Amino acid sequence: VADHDWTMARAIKEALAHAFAADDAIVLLGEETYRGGLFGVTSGLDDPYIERMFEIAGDDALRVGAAIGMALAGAKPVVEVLLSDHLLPALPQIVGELANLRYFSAGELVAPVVLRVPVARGTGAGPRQTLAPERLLAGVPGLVVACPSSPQDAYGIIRAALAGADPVAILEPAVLYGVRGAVDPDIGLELGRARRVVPGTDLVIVAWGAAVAVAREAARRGAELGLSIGVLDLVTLAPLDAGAILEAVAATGRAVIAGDEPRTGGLGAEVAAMIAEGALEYLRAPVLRIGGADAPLPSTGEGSVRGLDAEALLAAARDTIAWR
Amino acid sequence: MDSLALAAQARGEIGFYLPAEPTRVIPATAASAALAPDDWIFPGPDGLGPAIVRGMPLARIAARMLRSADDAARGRALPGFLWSRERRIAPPSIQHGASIAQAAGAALESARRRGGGVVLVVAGELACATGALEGPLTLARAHGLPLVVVLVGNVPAAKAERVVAGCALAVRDAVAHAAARARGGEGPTVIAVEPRGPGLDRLAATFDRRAVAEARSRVTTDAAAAFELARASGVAHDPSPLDHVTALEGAVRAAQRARLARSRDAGG
Repeated sequence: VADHDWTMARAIKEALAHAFAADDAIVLLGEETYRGGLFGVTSGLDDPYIERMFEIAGDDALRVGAAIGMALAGAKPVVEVLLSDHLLPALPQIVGELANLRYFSAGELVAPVVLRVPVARGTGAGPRQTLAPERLLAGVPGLVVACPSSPQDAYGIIRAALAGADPVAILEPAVLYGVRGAVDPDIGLELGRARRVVPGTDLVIVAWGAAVAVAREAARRGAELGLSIGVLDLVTLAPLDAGAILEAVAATGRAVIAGDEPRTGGLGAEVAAMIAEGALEYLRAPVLRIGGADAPLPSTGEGSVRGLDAEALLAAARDTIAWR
Repeated sequence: MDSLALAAQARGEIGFYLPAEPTRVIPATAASAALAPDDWIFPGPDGLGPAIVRGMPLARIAARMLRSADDAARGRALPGFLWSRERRIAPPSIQHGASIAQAAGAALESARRRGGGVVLVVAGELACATGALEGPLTLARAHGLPLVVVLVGNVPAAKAERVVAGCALAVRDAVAHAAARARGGEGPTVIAVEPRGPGLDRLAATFDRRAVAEARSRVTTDAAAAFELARASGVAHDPSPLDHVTALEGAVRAAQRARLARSRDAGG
């Protein structure tokens, strides 16, 4: 099968279209579904599947709650959350209900709800529409959290999420919706597995989402300086692929963690703690975290769209490699 | 059941236990008796009555209460929380009123599948106080969903057909009527159930314990009526739900006696 050259948005829509065609139980709940959601990702999907796409006026607590009920009654709902910030009123349904259902019923009840969460960091959406949701969701037992960095992964994550029995939250970096890439629909993806996207022997950058492309660029520039910098794409943020992370650190002895989130209390802190607990004896330098500031993002100016910086990431990598 | 469970909790034999609230138990039980077997029930935390009406085996209920090895939930759920996918009884939600949105979703799926049955949700007045009703109700009205909402408490909200709590027959009839409307494509119905007489909550607020106790005794009497109603409606299995309760209490007591005996044997 020839690869498709799709944007990430197109890859998500195509994955959903494939799932809709294959399984009558799959439905979509959202707001502004007539135009494909806030970012138009599913635009046109309502043409063949309008009876399975539900425009639900209300907050995401209602949409997630309704999705749980639909799932109990046999459906496989996909909820298109308006924006990551709109998760907040839905947390009681997600944390208290959805994530616990399969556990407390010992598997009798399942709610394979897929939450598609656009994350608008780096789009200039301002301080109240750019919530980094990793810290809210990745520590919720029972909830799988994934974050694509490419159209191929976006396609694979959607397919894998809809094939499973667990609820899955997919954090979609909105800055990547328009990024193109090759997609082979036949390539499967297993949730819970990280992937080494750049090999390296001096240091590994552990990254996810939009930070992966920045890490790759930092690795490329590092190679020009004679540094062998590897990149590990987490792909799944919960559960973390501890084996892959520790193996990469053991192989290089140095790690920098890159994610587009405020540093304090973020996912990067969890990865750093995991490395300290599991690979301390391999470390030849302190683990650094490179991410966003502990501050809201403005809606205009350079700081509104400038996410991670390849130069800053490379500088951190060089400092780490040079550390004595 | 409450007295048995609370005593067991006091002895440290079971964990957190949420006592049944009579003003909710009766509507939940009576409303369940008005439904067809394929209809979904979201009973909230008072699932014992609906579970009995739907014929959940005593052994399963007792195992949950005691968290014995036979508990299908393997001890992961609270002792009084009952559900059954097979019997279409949904689990209680932890957040006030969260089950109303879930019930609306189940009704949406029912409507999508055409002929999927009616969905009943029973909620307390806090569901209204937290604003958990309006969104799901708007959804249900917009799509004409087969949803019956029974709100228990002093609920001024929701244009509702009101009945008097404690009168199981009235609740049963109101829900039966609403379910028939829903099956006919006429959309959702909200039934507000007021506590009997001056209202237990208001009585409690006066700290008049005697009056509260007297009111609760009336409610208990009506619970028996609710079970009789369920038996008469043919929904319940044989023996009658009331016999189920009696037998259940006997089973729990027997299990407790056995556990005590084992404990004594082990100790001495």
